[in-house]
Amino acid sequence: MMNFYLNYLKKLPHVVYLFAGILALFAILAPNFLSMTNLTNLVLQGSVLLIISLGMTLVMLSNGIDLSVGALMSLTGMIAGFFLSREFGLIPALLTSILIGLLSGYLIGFLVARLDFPPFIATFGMMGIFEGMSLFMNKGESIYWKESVFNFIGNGYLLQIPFPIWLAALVFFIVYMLLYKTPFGVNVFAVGGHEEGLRLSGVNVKRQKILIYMVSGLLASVGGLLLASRIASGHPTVGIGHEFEAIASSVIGGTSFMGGQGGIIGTVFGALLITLLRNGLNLLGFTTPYQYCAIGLILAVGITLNTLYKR
Amino acid sequence: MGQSKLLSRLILLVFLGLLLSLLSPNFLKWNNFVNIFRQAAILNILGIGMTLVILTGGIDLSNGAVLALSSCVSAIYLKDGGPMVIGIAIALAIGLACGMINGWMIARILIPPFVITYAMMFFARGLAYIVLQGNIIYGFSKPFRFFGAGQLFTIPTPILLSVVILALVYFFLRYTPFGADLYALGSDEESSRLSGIKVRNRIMLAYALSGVLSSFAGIIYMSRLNAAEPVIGEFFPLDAIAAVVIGGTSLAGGEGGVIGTMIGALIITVIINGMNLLGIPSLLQPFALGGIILIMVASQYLGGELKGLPSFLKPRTIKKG
Repeated sequence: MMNFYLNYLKKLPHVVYLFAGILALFAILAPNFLSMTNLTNLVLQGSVLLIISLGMTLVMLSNGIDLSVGALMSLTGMIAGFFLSREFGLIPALLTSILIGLLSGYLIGFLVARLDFPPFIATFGMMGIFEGMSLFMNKGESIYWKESVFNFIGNGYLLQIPFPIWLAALVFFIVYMLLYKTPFGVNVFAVGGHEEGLRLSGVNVKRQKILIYMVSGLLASVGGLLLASRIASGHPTVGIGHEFEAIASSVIGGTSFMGGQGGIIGTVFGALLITLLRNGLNLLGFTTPYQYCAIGLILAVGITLNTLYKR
Repeated sequence: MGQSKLLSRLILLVFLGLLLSLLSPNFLKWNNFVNIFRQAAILNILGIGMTLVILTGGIDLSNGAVLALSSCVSAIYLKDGGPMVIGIAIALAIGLACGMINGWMIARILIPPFVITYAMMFFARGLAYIVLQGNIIYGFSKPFRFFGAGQLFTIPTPILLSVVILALVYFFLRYTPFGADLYALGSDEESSRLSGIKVRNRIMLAYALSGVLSSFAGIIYMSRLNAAEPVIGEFFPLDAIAAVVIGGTSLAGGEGGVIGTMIGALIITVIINGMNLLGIPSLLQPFALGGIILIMVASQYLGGELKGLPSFLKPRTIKKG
């Protein structure tokens, strides 16, 4: 029995231990850290990064990259703002944004899978297009809206737990089931690891790739909506840099650009670790520059652990 | 690098110059010309460092942050009345240290260049803010201003300095074993290791040089601005990568050179200068740069130089020995 648990612990990504260690450190150093309010706050702050990182992990597992995530987040926020500020109602705003996410994912997948565009180029180009569109939508200005049900998504509570946490948990659950309990998930790993073998075994690899980018696009638009709702406005450049943070979360979590290696449990802790550093250092009175330094350091330490352990 | 490739870039540069002199009467003014060359000088120095690491199949996202950190620390020292030579040495030492850490992590621990230099970017940027405590340091001594704002034989110093560095690195790449090794390991790491090249050593050297050149550019930059602040150079990695790929250096490594990068730096500066003269909003300028990078990198994919994900996203596969 003991062995069973030990084996289970050994299988956990290293980032879990790093996370636990730093959590313990903050618990000792910062008196209010372990309060329910702060822990809830921590997950709340991490929810956006967590959601988009899950999509990035899927793409990286399939030997791809999605640089358009941040710009797509900006765009969905602007689109939601476009509908909300004109009081078209909540449903059109949500539906259009989600649809745009799926559509752009399809487009990227189409470019990559059918037209053989390198993912780096296709998504870099789409990043420019999305960012341009979101700047174009209100001539570079933010869009604000009157108090709306929409703001509930980012700021509301359900059973005394902030709604973004429910949303992140739901997204995690769905992606987890998708990745580990369905043929789709098996194929995600296989596309990254042995694309040719998968093709020979009769799987439609192109369709699989398109679906993966669609999941990434969908999650980016959900993340963008959540972010817009939290700040109660659409801002044309709010998403910039999120794609790199999502890559960082995945990489700390043990997913690499080699394809087929890694998983989403590590990504969750990677995203939470980055948020944890910000939150904990903030509580201890350290300003943003110190948080920058700490993120740089922990990123280096995390990936060093991953690399050394593998060998 | 093929002569024809260089020639095509040169023709592009001349063409852009002619186009802009038709579109804007201010372009052909002597002051504007000197301005362009002076602006291109800093980008050129950063681009040379970036060329070295890209030749190995890597990348350096930290050059802007290293520039900020080294110039901020040395500014504090200079402002306290420290000797200029030591102030400059401090900046260069910081650049060297950051570059060596990058190189060591990439060549020894086998961390993907993209990831570790991204981490270094955060670390160095944060540290730059911390050492200055939110202040801006301005007003340097007259001798120090010489590097960025001075003139020698009526030519601005930054231009002369960048040409000297270009000549040195060109010589290194062309006529020393270091250069040959760099090209060899960039195109085929395994066989260059088997032929006795100290692959790790060379990779570390390339990143160390990129760090030193970043801090050197930082000295010129703060001397020209007459100020040091932690925010400077946020977009320098993008600019430098653009200069390198426009100059014809392959993102796959092993092909290209610094002369192309110099022309690339000039092309970018001319484009930015032209957009300013034509009154194109600065908000739109990153799109032009991004579009150029996109076209250049796409053409590398089309030409078959690059396949799949760029190698800087992946760990190096150096075996023992």
